[in-house]
Amino acid sequence: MTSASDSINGRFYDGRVAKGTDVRVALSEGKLVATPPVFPAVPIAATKIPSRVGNTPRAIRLPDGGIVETDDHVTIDRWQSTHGLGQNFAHRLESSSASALASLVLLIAALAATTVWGVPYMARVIADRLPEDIAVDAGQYALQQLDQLVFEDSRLKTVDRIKLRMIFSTLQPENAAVSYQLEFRDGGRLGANAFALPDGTIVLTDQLVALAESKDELAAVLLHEIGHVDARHSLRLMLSHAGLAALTFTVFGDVTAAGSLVVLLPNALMDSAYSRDMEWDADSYAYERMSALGIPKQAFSDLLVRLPSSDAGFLSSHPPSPWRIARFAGQ
Amino acid sequence: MTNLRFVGDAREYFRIWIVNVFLTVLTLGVYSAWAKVRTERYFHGNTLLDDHRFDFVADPVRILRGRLLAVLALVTYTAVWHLQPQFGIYALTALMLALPALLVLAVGFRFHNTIHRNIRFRLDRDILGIYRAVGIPIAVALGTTLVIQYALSDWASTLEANSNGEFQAASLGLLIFSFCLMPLLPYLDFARSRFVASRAHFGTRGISFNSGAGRFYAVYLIGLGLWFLAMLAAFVIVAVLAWMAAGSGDENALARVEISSYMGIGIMYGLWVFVMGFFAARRRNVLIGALRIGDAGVTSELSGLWLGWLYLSNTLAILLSVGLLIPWAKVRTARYVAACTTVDVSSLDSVSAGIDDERSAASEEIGEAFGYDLGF
Repeated sequence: MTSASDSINGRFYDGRVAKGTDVRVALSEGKLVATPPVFPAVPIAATKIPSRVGNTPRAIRLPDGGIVETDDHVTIDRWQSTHGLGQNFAHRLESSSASALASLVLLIAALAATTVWGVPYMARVIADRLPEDIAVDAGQYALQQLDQLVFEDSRLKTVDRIKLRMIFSTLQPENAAVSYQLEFRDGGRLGANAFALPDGTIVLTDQLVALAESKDELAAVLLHEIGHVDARHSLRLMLSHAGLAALTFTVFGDVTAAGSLVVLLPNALMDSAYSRDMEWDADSYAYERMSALGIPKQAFSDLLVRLPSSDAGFLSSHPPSPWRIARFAGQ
Repeated sequence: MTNLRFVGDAREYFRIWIVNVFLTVLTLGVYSAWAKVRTERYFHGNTLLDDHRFDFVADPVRILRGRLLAVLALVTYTAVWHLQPQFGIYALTALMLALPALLVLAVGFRFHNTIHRNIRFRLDRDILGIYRAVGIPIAVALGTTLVIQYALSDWASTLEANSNGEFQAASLGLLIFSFCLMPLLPYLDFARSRFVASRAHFGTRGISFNSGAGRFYAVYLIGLGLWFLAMLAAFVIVAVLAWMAAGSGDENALARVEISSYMGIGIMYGLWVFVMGFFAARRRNVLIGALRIGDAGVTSELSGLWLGWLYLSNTLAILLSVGLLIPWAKVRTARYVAACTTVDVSSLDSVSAGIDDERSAASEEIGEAFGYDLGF
């Protein structure tokens, strides 16, 4: 149903000199014919017609390098579809308000899904596939830094250390991929705390040992920390953080002209959400192992309750939530 | 002298933008290359100079390739920092060293794919040249750093004594280097701008840069002065707010003071955005004003106060709209910036294309992917 000769108004630029000439181009028997004849008749199949971007004028690219710029989109779209010269998918999505609205809604849903599930899932999958010793150096480095900046040598008595090491050895998982070690430190400014390093080193501070009122409470903490190592949380956190940064950049990367630091705010919020999730996971690990080993789970919540709220563990970003405490209470 | 005109419309661009973002997220970033090309085509295609439009003709596939390479580089860089942090400093240094080359590649890619009246822009690919241009000021800063480090060497050797001494000495060196580099930043900006402009062409017509470093120093110093004033003002405002909030020292005083401190941070951030806008306007005026396309002059007459206000109101709008007003902000800014830019078009009709290969080099995609924005 194409009319044999329909035409557009446009401007021709030959690509050799910057001068432009207004021109009328007709489509006649599959050929583009210009009036005035600034270029010879060319088959439309030999031209390239770029996809439509809103109502921005488009430039038909002629085989010899010239272009015809036109804003007669209706006719061009029709020429495109009858001669199979491009589909304008994106434009069709963009041109209806309904699809723009749908995009908005789906976008929000997709972003929510990606940040809440997608990124942590990918982080977990990748972390599981990385070699076991990949984060060893980083862990040792972190411990060195902490030793220099915060920690001092532990003042725990040798006999207490031996007792704790014995408890620790009963808690280690079978067939562990890393070799777990227990280290003692005076926690300094960090007070009562426990840390897990990616290579299996777990650090207990003297202040936490003093705070505990039973072996079971310390066992619970140690299991929680083992949980972090077992699930490779530090690696996963790093990957989540990187994944989130990449996502933020792809979505908002072009926002330079208007003060783009605002986009970092959701990042910071998501990061701490990821950390909380991992604390919860480590708790789950402790919960299961405590059940298997017959350790009363109340012990963990007793200790959590006693933790001064100013202390913060290596991976946690705030004091223990009531949910964490309640989960282990009365068990 | 004819003004540039931007005729794009926020509502139209919003639809393009939202679909861009949606498809980008859906495809985990792959579509971002097409989104970028569509965005550039929209802004270029709606910019008119004397009734002739601009166009952006990059191939999205090449942009995608560049971005994948950049992601790989970024992943490697991040991995080094997390897994072998002792080498992090060296990775950072390597990145810093590569930046000038990436700049040339990025600008080259952009120029090569920008068309006006079907004539391409072009950038001579002179990678050595950029290192020569920025090399001297950086060497000066480096030399000064070494001198200072030598002067502090007694203190530094006590650092070396403990196990992380090497890392700490390197960090200290980097810090001193940053301080030495700061007074040279305006000169670096000038050298970089002059380098790019003097190697740029519109078809066969060369572009030249006609300004000394002095005007750059003036802009930076004014910007710095304004920033100090703004921080001072913010400090005073925060102090007054906190004092008012503390009131009679009753039990809610602490909470009120906390809230007032957040307000204070907000005010500081707002002032900072305003100063950035002011500075950006002045700097662009100097940079654009120095350009000549052949004999044709170019001017930029942005008002620092107005652009500062634009940046600030844009940021507020974006925050309050959770990002939905980003397209509006971009269109609004583009319209103002175009209206303040004029070009002498009298000799442009005779510009010819010259022999010129259509394809920009593959390496330029990598530069492009690092998103290095010259602000031209």
